[in-house]
Amino acid sequence: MKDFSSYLNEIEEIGYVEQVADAIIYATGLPNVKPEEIVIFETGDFGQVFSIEPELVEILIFSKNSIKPGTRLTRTNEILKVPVGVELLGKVIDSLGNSIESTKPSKSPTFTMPVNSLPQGITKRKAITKTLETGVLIVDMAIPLGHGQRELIVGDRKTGKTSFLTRTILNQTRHGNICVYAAIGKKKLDVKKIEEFFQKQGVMEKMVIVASGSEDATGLIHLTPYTAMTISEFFRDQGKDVLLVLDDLSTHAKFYRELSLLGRRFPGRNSYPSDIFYTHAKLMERAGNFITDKGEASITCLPVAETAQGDLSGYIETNLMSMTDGHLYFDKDLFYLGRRPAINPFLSVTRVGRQTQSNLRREINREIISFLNLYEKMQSFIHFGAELNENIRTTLLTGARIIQFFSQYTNEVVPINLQIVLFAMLWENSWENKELIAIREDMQRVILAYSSDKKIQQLVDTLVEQNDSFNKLLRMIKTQGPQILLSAQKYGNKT
Amino acid sequence: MNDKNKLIYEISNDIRTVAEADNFCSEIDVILENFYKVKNKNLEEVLLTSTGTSTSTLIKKILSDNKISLADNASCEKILVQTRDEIKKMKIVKITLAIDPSSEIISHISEWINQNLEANTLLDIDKDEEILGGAVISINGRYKDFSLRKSLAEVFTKKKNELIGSISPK
Repeated sequence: MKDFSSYLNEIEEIGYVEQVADAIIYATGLPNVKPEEIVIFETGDFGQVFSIEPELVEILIFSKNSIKPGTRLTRTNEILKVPVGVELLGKVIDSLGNSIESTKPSKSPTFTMPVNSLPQGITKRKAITKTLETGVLIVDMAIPLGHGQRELIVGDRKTGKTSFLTRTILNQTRHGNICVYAAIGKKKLDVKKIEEFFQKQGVMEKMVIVASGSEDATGLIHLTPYTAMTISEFFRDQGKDVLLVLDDLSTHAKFYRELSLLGRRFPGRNSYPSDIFYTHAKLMERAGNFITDKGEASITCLPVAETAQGDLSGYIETNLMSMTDGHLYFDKDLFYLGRRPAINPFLSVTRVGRQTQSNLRREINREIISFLNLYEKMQSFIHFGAELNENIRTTLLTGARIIQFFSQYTNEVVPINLQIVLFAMLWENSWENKELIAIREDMQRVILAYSSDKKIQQLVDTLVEQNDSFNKLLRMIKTQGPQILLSAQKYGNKT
Repeated sequence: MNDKNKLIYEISNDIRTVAEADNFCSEIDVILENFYKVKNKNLEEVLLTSTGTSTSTLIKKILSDNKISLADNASCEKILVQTRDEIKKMKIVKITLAIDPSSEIISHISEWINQNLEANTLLDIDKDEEILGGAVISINGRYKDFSLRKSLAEVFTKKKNELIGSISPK
């Protein structure tokens, strides 16, 4: 960007700061200013036009520097753009595209894209047909997702939402997809931890972290998801499948509320402005499955919303639910029961994920959901104790095994074919009369064997590829299951 | 010409700059305060004791032009409040010069602006020696740099390009 004097001499329009209200600045002058245009102050700071009133221009400032009334400003005739490019991979950047790690020398991309672009039209979109593998058993098997889906991650704080997201990112980057993680108004320490985790896992080169700290300027925090979406759009245009995580939109809504109240907008429900739905929906609409010049490419968006005391009926949460293609609900009660991940399959929804499944996976999905429903009903009989009949006891035992099956260690990723085979083994009763802990240990061995032994991997993959129905697979598992377990015996416990 | 415009027209010859306007408005405030401080005091007395000669003359001129008697306190108060409000609404032309302008120069500039740019304006004059000469004017958000610095910079840039063009290999 040029400096203040250059823009002033070029555009020949001047304004004067009249009033400063934290992140919002009111200025007079600038007769031909346009909405969303970037303005530059004589102090070198710059901001974006938020709204235009007959006498005043409302400007959203992107820095924490104090700007005094009387300060001069001028137009730039430019809209807000951020640098995008493959150079961003492996970097942690702020909402304006500047690298946060000042110690590392970095090359900034030269190509820029507007932050507030319109969502693509219907002609550029395609139905969601590809499965998105999260590596999380309960999601991939019971509440499947597809590439291009927008799935809300909702739940109380500290219920394992971020853990699920990091696991999904890990799995997607290992599949060669690009991941963009937007940390909105987070603590710097949390952002650093996330960065270190991905670096340790060796996947940072496949992802970009767009971060704004809670101490940053409100304008910058507000901008974070839009910048992350713009970067995702760049990679989408390169023909890549992108996973975008917006962590979290409840915080974003709070900062937007702050800006709107400072901007004297009329407060609506919970003091949020009336355009909060539009603000988020416009952002969500930019994700999806698209037809690009380089073939089919998608932006899968996982926005996060934090609930208070498990209340799913909050304003922002319900807004987001209505603009996404489903939600995964992290239940604090399940979390306290020790379930990891604490996803409640009955309160979670996937609207487009099932259409991406193969016949075999769809059959398994149906079995799981109907069985979990039955198990949930049967649990009310638990207090009858010894009076339980054989059928109920078997159902309860299988239920406990399935729940145990869905429990995963933090950051443990299970490939989809292995998920199917393991579930088939469990369903077929390969671990008859075995304790839950022993089953768990066996599963760990198989997971380890799958990732280490090419033969086992091939066997598992062939089993899934050759069988298009669950019954056929179960018949095969009867003979192949013990063989897999036997081959996996030599792999130690991964606990 | 309506009453308000007439009022502004009357004072625009005497009040040309923001500093003069501020001074005049604060003197009006003092006069208005003094109306309440002493009972049965007339404006003649207030003008004599609490304002300067130039302000006093200007106020008397405004009152006589509007056919208001100095003894009619209510009408005097009304016209003074109206004058102050109209001054506060006047548009401001910011002008940067390389010198401290004399009163004559200020009058000259004010007259030129009222005739050529916009009538009934106040000048906000700033001094910046770095512009070398000429003036930088901003009015209604419009900014024009007529300074010598800019002209010289343009000449230097042009000459530099010519020079580079002449020595670079073809």
